[in-house]
Amino acid sequence: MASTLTIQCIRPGGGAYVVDGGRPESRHLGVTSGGPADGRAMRAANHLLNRSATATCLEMTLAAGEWLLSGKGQIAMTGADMNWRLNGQLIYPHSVLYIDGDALLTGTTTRRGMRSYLAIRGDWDLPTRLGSRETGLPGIPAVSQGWSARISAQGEAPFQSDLETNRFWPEEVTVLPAIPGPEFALLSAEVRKWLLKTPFLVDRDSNRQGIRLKAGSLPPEAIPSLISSPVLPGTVQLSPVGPILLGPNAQTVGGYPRALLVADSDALSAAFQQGIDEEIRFNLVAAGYLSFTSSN
Amino acid sequence: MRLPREIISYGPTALLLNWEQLISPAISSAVHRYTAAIEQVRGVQECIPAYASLLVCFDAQQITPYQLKEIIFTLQPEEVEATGIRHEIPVCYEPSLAPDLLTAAETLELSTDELIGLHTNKDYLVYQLGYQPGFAFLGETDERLAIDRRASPRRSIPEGSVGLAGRQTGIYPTAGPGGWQIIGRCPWPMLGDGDDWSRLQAGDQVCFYAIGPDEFHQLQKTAAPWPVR
Repeated sequence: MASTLTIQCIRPGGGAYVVDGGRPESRHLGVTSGGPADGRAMRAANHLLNRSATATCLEMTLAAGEWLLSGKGQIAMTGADMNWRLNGQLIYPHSVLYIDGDALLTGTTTRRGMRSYLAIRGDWDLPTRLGSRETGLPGIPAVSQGWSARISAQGEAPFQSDLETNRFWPEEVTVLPAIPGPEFALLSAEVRKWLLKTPFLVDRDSNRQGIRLKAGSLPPEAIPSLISSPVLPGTVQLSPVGPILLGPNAQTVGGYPRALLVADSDALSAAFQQGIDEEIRFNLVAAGYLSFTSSN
Repeated sequence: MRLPREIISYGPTALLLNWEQLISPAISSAVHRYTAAIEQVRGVQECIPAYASLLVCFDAQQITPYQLKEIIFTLQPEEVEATGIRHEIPVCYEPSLAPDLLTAAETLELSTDELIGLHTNKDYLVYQLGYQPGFAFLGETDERLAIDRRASPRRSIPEGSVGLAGRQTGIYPTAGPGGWQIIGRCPWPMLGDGDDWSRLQAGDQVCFYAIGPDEFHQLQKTAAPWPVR
């Protein structure tokens, strides 16, 4: 008989989301692309368990919460360091753990990075909408106290020897390579210079929709709004109070100038691990420099 | 037919077609005809139409941006049949379901009957979807219905609420925050379960008809007809 593992939310921490490959081809319906905020960390968690890069995971933001795991199966954790513990025992990052029985997964507020990823090997028995199990559409319950998912386990994952775990730690300073967005050329030289020279800080209102960036100064000129037009995740919109780096749950259309685009998926992953008041800068690069992967 | 005025790259895997930046039925019609034509091109993954622009996302393994641009230049979208359909949608304008109806009428210096009459007497074009899943921006309303958004958005308004903002109208497909002036409520769900997930899609036409509260509650309990495309 196949074994199963059930995960139950006792406390969701700072915000937990079911994530997978998202719904990148449903934007014409007004549905956000979705997917993990840090695709690099989720890929690593799935790789450790020999799953596809976009297999379903839990994304935990800011604080760990408390989770009950019951049954038999394998889990892996990557991303932010939330001092994760299983039945009180410290979990080393990027390790694969075997669960047999009941286990309490706990942690603290993050010590480094913003988002942790929990992968569990097997098929997650959750409803799908538009090809995805991600939280956020009607018919898909939010991950809150009492939420649970049953995972039909798949046996033990083979050892993964090719993962350079050090590469996947959240970075401390992030200079994001960016290419000009559709309205970059329409901005004045002063505004462009301000955008590219200012060390911005992550505002506490940031979330999966976008990272709101603050600086010691406002944009040097009034920012016009436009007739609403499509936007892509990774776009840096210039609002009157500062730039917004759009994330996986960004709206599909918007009216602020699309000044820059961070099209490098690993750089975008690093940005979404930056904590509140940590720094983000933009560095203008030629489009050919970027290697965009479809996994984020 | 109105042609796009520029085609520019928006990152390595998308092109953005821009028309004159106006909200107009002629431009919107061109956007939707280009959408229908470009969706057929091999390597194109998704087209996202907006008021006066169209985002074309493609698979760079199958087609380069240069090839795609060349194909777009040679398209004859006026020969493509428009895919939009027409919807007749019931709305209950009972004040208990329409918290801004009375104040909106007062602001617009109309009676509530006049407001309802103006809202139900024309077909609206679905210019674009956005803001929240399945939310259709419908326009343009009669100029006598032009009204500002609420000074303070509501934290939560019920699913099906019908709102006015500027010269736009729309139906909130799900409960959530919103700043439009709520003048009625639709008993039908805007979102479904299948592939044809959103009742309204860009390029469709919508007209509203008024129903009373009894019919509203009755329609809420019965299976709503789903449009066939």
